[in-house]
Amino acid sequence: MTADLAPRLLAPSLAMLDALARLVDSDPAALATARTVAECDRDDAIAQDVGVLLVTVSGDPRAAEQHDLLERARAWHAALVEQLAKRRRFVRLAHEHAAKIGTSPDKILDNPVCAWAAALSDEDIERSRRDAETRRAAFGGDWQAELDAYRDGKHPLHPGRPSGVAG
Amino acid sequence: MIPRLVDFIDGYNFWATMHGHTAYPTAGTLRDALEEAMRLSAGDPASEPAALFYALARRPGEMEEGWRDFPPLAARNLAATAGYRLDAATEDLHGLRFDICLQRLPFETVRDYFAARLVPLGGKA
Repeated sequence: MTADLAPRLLAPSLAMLDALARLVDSDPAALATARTVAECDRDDAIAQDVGVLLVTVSGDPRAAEQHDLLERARAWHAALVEQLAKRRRFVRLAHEHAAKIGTSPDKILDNPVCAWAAALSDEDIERSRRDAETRRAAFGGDWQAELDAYRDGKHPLHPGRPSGVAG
Repeated sequence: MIPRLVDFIDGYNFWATMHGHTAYPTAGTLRDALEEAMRLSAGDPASEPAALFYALARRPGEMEEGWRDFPPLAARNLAATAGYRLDAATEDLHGLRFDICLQRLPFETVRDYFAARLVPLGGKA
């Protein structure tokens, strides 16, 4: 956040707050737009601008009247920042994978199934790896043995059998 | 919308690499699963998450390590693509995955299970 951005943002602040209000409204189309915006790398700057705006307007006494609007704008801003962090991680993973297999990172970034994978957190992946180690130790990759263990209530990761999930 | 085959294969490989898998299903296995999912869902977007989950879950040998964690991932994301949240615990989805193989569940049972747990995104649960 830089001080020189504040004057530029102060003038259109009410108009921008109106725009923010529309974005954070429950209108699905507006939310979709916000999500689309959040997916673009170039909008990292927008996230910063919104952050500066929020800080600037919060320091203005008139902002008290805008309390509800600001709260919603803050929530939108937080969501935007989170989306951008995820997007940056996806870009990094895409470049790493592309270098490994000799393809273009864009091919990965444009692939919806790659986006499913990239949305997993490091914790998700680490848990999955630990589970895989447990399965390997117990079954050595034998899926039939794994099924039998589940049926008999002896699966180390899923001991609750019979679950009756499907009736 | 069920992904294109080329995206499905490339995306699966991306996912498997992230997890450090060493054994991958063949492209033919992924193609068969995708085609079966399309056939089962018969163009109904709300049935696609169940159809893809079912088609992947009933291929334990062919899917290699992807048999465990990929079906829930695919189902949840496909549901989101169709505008739904899948309101089911991952542990329950694992149970369903095992039951599909052990009990040879018909697709209709799995479709009904999913239908009861798809919540419109942005709507009330």
